[in-house]
Amino acid sequence: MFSFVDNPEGVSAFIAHVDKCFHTRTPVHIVLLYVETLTYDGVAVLLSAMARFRANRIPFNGDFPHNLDARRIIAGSGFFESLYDTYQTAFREHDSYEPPGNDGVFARRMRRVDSELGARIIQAASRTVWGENRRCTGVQRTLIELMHNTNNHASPSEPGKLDWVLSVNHVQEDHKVAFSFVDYGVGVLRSLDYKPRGSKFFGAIGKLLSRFWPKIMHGGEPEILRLIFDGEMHLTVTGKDYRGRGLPGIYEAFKAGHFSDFVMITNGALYDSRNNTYRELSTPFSGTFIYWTLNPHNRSLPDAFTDTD
Amino acid sequence: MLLRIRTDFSTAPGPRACEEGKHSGEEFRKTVLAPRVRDAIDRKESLLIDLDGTAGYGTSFLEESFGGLIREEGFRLAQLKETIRYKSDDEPELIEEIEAYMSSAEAAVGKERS
Repeated sequence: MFSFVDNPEGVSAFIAHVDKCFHTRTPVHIVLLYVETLTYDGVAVLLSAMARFRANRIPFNGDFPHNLDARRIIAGSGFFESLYDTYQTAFREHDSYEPPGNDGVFARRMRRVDSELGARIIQAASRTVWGENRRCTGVQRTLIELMHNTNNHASPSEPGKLDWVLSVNHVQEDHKVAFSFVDYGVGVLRSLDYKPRGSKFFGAIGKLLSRFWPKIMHGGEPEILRLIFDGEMHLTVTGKDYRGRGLPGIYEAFKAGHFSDFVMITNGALYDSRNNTYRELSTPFSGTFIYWTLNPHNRSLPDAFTDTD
Repeated sequence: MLLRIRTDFSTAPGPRACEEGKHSGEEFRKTVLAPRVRDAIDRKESLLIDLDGTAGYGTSFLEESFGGLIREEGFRLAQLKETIRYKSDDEPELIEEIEAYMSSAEAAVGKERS
C-alpha cells in the first residue's frame, strides 16, 4: 500500500531508501508493479522525492502498477506531467491552477506563496463539497502557512529555493476533497539546526529543547510537535519572537472545524487526528507532509468574489 | 474613515514579506494600512478596518501588518487602540488575534527601549 496517511512506516522507509540513492547519485528504478493501493497523498510524496532526481540529473525510471485503480491514479494524477515538465527548464514562477479533470487530482510544484492559487483551489473544492462556490478561510490559512513554511524554513540556508507539491483529490460521490501538501526540506523540527555555523541561531533547537527537557525526555519528537501545536513551544527558525505562529495557526483551524482528518508527518513525528495520537516514526521523514479533508460539515462562508473566478 | 481590505487591497491577502509572494502583509502595511492610520490620527478620526469578504488570512500576514505598525512604523499600542475599530463578521476571532499581535509587538518594543 503506497499511502503516507495509511502506511506511514512503509512509505517513510521506502522514501529513506530513495533518499540514500539520491545522496549517492545512484540511478533508481521505482517498482510500482505490485502496488495494490496507491493514494493521491502517496503520489504527492513520490513526486516530491523524484523531482530532486530530475533536478539534479540523476537517472531514474519506473513501472506502472498492475492494479488498475492504482495505475489510473498515477496516470491521471499529473505526476508525469509535473515531473517531466517543470524541471526541463528554470522553475516557472507563475504556474496556473487548472481545475481537476475526471480523475479529480491536481499536483504541481510551486515555490512562492500564492494566495490567489489557494483561493482558486478552495473555490473548486467547495463546488465538490457544497455544490456551490464558498470560502474556506481556515483552509486558505493552512495553504498560505504551508507555502510560507516551505519558502522560509524548508531550506534555511537558502530561503525560497525549495518547492512544494500539493495534491487535491475530489471525491465527487462523497462530496469530499482530500488535500496533501509535501515539502522535501529538512523538516519542521530540525530546521533550526540547519542555520549556518557562526549564525546566532545555530543549534538553537538544542537550547530551546533544554527548556522543555523534562516534558520531552520520554516523548521525543512527537512530544515536540504536540508542544508546538498547543502553543507551549514557540518554534521559529528566524530567532524573531514574532514569527513561528504558522503551525499553531493550522492546528487551531483544524480544532475550529475548518477541516477534518488532519495528519502531519515531519522528521520522526507523526500526528494523526483520526485517532488523536502522536507517535514516533521508526524511519524519519526528511521534510514536511500534511494531509486534511474538507467535507460538508466543515466551516465555510458564502462566496464573495465570483467575479474574480 | 473606512478601510475595506477586500476592495482597498486584495481579496486574497498573501504572505508576510514582499519577496515571498503577492499581496503580502508588508506591502499592505506600507502602502495602505500605515498611511490610513496616520491620516486618521492626524484628522483625529477613527479608522474602521473591514476584514470581511476575503479568501482568508495567514497568521504571518496579520502579524506583519498589525504587529508591524508598532515594530516598523513606530506607532504605539495606545494610539492604535484609540484609533482603530474592526469589522469581522466572517471570523470574529480575528480581532482578538490582531490585538494579541499588537500587544506582543508593543511588549517587544518596550523591552528593547528599556
